Amino acid sequence: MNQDATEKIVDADLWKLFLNGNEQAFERLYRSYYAVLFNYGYRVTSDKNLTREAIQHLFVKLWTNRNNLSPTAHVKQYLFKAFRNHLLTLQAQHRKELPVETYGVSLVQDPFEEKLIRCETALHNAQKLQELLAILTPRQREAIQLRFFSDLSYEEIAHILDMQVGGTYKLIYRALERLRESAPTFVLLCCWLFL
Amino acid sequence: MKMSEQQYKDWGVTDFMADPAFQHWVRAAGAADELNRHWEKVQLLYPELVPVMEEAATQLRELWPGKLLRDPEGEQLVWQAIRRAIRAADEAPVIASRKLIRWPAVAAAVLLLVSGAALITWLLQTQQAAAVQISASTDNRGQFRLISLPDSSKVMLGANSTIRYDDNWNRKGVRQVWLKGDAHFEVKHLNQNDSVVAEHEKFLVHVNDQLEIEVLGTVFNVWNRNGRTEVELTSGKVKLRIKDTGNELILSPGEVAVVTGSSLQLDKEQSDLVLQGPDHDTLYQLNNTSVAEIIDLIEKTYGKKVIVEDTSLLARRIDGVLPLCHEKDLLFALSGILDIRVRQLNAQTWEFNTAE
Repeated sequence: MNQDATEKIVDADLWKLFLNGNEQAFERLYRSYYAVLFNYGYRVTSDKNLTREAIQHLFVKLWTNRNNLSPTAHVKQYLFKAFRNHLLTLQAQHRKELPVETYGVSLVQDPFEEKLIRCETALHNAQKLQELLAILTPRQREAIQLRFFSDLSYEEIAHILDMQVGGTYKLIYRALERLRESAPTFVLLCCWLFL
Repeated sequence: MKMSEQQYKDWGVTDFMADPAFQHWVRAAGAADELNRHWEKVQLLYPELVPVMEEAATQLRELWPGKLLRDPEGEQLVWQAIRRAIRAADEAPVIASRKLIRWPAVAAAVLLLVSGAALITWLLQTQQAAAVQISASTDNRGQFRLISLPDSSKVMLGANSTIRYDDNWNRKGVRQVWLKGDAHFEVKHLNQNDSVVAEHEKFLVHVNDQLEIEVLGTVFNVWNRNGRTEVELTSGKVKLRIKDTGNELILSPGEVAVVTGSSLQLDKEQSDLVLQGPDHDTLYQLNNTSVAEIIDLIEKTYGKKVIVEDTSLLARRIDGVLPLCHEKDLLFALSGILDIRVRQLNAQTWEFNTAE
């Protein structure tokens, strides 16, 4: 059995315990998903506090609403979909409060990001990439994030974004093509690494 | 997985990059043999595709982040906020029916709330220390609960147990909780100066309306079985007092006190079953514990019956840890440790058999 499948089984068990009101299982789910959800939310919104807030809303809602939830084998997919809804709701609220294009990527000015980068040297390239991703449409960027950063399958992404699996494939294909076409630095970077 | 090699003939770099099977191959380099063979076959069949695939692979590798961004500070902060919110939600008094709203019930609840509020206001006026009581309990379906007290002391509540405590601890009074059943305590130490112990630095546990445990800051277990109560101290110092007789006993780390009726005795031996604290995944520590006792624990925790064919099994003793929070894990662990067969006869009954 591969690691993914094992993780899925553990998650499904934790999920069941959590539905029964087991706070320990609930905390374990939180601990194992905080980082991936944070990464996804932060990369999509570039807003650390909004991302944290959305994670908080998600888990409080899960707990208070647990009697209406049912056991599932697709915990990751479910959490991402629900998290995405919380993110979008919060983002809409914030936009009303201050009309700033939140999708704009402004990584360099953020001291928080600088701190993270200092901790994680491997992030240098990731940051470059993040700048490149800015040329994509929000939906393309999101699909790329979900596939390559959050490691979700095409089927899971289709479910999260409410579309057909074929449509997800096309979306990612177009995104990759666009990246390759309009970002010579991307190709350059790759070629340089290749040599 | 059925993949025909012909389909790749006219593929470009992006086609490969967007293909899940190709992504998987690049990501998990050399992992699945079947996948390796497949792509090697494609490369043999269409040598002109080799540079295309290599470019696709390189660009894909560039897309994957090396590591996740970490946000330990946020993880901690957000969890604390979640804990506060869910605790407040769990204590909300109006949970009539979750599935459908019954208006008469709502009306009754509103009435109850109004009269409750009036009562509380009146109580607050007449009696200043009228505190709101919080109560948490577990059932016998394998449920355990981690409870954070107002002073951030932690309690791991065992199965079939109840704990009650006042809401407002920030005043001058003693911190006190009322326990029925089993629990593991990690009490926050507030005392600064050993020679002067202020009232609010004390922590008092009332067990089964029978025993009082006075604590400063420490880690200990309370354990009930066969009509007696055991208290085992892991660290710190606690004082036990029987309410009826006023008998007192001071416990040092590693010691176990046994309370039967109104007798209070020191048991120098380590307790053979220990409920573990919240930092442990496995919940019970076994020290030379008899199978009979484990069965007792199972019956108490899950509310199920255990039938044993070979009664010599009951006297066997084992060491180790028991993953009691999960029924299946427990069965699996037990059958392995004891080399027995465990069968579920029906929803309420398990059978233990010695393997032939």
